Amino acid sequence: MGLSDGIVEGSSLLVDHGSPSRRFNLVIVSEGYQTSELGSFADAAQQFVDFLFSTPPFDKIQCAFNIYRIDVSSTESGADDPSACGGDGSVKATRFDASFCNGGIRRLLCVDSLAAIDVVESVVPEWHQVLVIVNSSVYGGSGGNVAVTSTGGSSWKQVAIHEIGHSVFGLADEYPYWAGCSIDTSRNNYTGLEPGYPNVTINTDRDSLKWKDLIDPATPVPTTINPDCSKCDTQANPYPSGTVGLYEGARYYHCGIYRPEYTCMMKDLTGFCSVCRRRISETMSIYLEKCYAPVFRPVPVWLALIVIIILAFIVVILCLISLFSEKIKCLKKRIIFIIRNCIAGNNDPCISL
Amino acid sequence: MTHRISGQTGSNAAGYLSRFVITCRGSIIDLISIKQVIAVAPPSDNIGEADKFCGSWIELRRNDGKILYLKRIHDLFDDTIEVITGSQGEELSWVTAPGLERTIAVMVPQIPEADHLAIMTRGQDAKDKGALEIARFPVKM
Repeated sequence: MGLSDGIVEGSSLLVDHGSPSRRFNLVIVSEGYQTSELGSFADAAQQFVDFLFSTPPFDKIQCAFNIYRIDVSSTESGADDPSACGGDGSVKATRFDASFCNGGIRRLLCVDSLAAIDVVESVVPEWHQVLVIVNSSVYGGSGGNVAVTSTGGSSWKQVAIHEIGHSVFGLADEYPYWAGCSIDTSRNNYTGLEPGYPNVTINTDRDSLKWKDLIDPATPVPTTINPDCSKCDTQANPYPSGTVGLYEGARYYHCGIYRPEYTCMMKDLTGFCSVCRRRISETMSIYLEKCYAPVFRPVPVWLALIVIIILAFIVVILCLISLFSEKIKCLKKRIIFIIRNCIAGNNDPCISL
Repeated sequence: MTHRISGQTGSNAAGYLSRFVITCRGSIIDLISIKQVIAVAPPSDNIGEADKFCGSWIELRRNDGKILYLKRIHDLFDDTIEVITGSQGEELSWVTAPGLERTIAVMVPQIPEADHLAIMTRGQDAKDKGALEIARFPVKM
C-alpha cells in the first residue's frame, strides 16, 4: 500500500478566480478510485463544490476561492474496512492507505495525510485546505487541514463543511454534548474559562457579548435557559428561526455556556448561524481583493462565428442607413435652395449647389 | 479583534509565507516540513489577549521571546477526536482515541527577525497555571 498503489492521473481547476497567490485554494483529491472510476470522483467533487457555494455565506464569497481537483487513481477500489469495527474486513491497495476503524472507531476514516500533502504540494503549492474524497459507500470521515470523507452518508457534504469550519475558520462545536446526550455523565455545567472561539461564550452580559451587535434589543439575553442541566435542552425554539441571542448549551456542555442561534452548521449541520457567517466572511475577505467574477469561459467556435456574422450584418446596415441619410439631407438642401432662388426671382433650376 | 504587523501581515497583497506541517501523536509533536509559499497572509490575532482564553494557538517569536504573529488554531493537542456517529440528530460526537496521529498545517508570514514558532495551549480550568508551550520549532530547518 502507498506510493506504488496509485498515480496522479491529472488535475483540473474547477473554480478559477485568478492567481492562487491571491485566493484561498481548496484542493479536492481522490482516494480509492480506480482509473475507470475517476468520473464518479469528478461528480462527487462537483457535488461538493455546488453544495459549498449554495451554503451561505459561501454563495456570496465564491470569488475568494480557487478550487482544484486532483485525480489520483488507486490500484484497488475502496478503503480498508477492518472487521474489528464491524466492517467486511477488506484490505485495499490504495494510494493514500484510506482506512476506517482508526482508533477502533467505526466511522473514523483516515488517510496518510503526509502522502496526500506531498501530492497536493506538487500540483498546488499554495494550498490552504485539502479534502480527500474516499470511494466508499460506508459513512465516515475525519477533520483537519487534510479533511477526509467518504460519499457514503447523506450528510457527507455537511460534515465536510463543518470540519472546514473548524480548521479554516476556527469555529467551535456548538452542540451541547460530548459523546452523546444520553451517554454523557459529566457534561452538566461548564465552569471553565471563556473559550477563545468566536461562536461560543460563557458571558451573559449583553453589553460585552462577542456578538452583541447582532442581537435585537427585543431579544432577551440569555435567550433560552436549559431547565435541566443533567441533560441536553430539548425545548423547541421559542423564537423565529435565525434569531440571534444567547442559547444555553454549547461546546460539549448542557449548561453554563452559550451559542448564538438555536441551530447552526456547527451544532446540527444546518446552515451556519449569523455569527459563524460573519466569521467566515471576515476570514475570507483577504482573498477577495482584485477578484473579477465570473471568469472568462471559452466560447464554442460556432457560437463565436454566429456572433461575428450578426455584428458584421449590423455594421453593414448602419453604413447603408448612414449613406442614404446623407443623400436625403443633400436632396432636401437642394430643394430648399431652388425654392429660395425662385422666390428671389432666379428661375434657373439648374443652378449648382 | 486583530493585531497587525506593518508590512508583514494583514495586507491583502501576496507575500512570502512559511507553511509548517506538523504531526501530533499524544505528547509527541514533530515538525515534518517548512515550505515557502507566496500567498496572502492572514492577519495576526490579538497578541495581548491569547492566554486569557482556553484553546490552542501558534506564536511566531523573536529570539528574545517577543511575539511577532499569533494565530488561534482549532486543534486540540490531546487524544480526543471528533467523529461521525451516523445517528440522526447527533451526527457528530467526540471520543478518546489514544495513539492517533493527526497532521496540522499552519501558514505564517516570513518576518526577518522571526526565530521560532511555538505551539501554545491553555486548558479550560480557570485555576490552572496559564498558557503552556507544548512545542517549539526554529523557523528555518
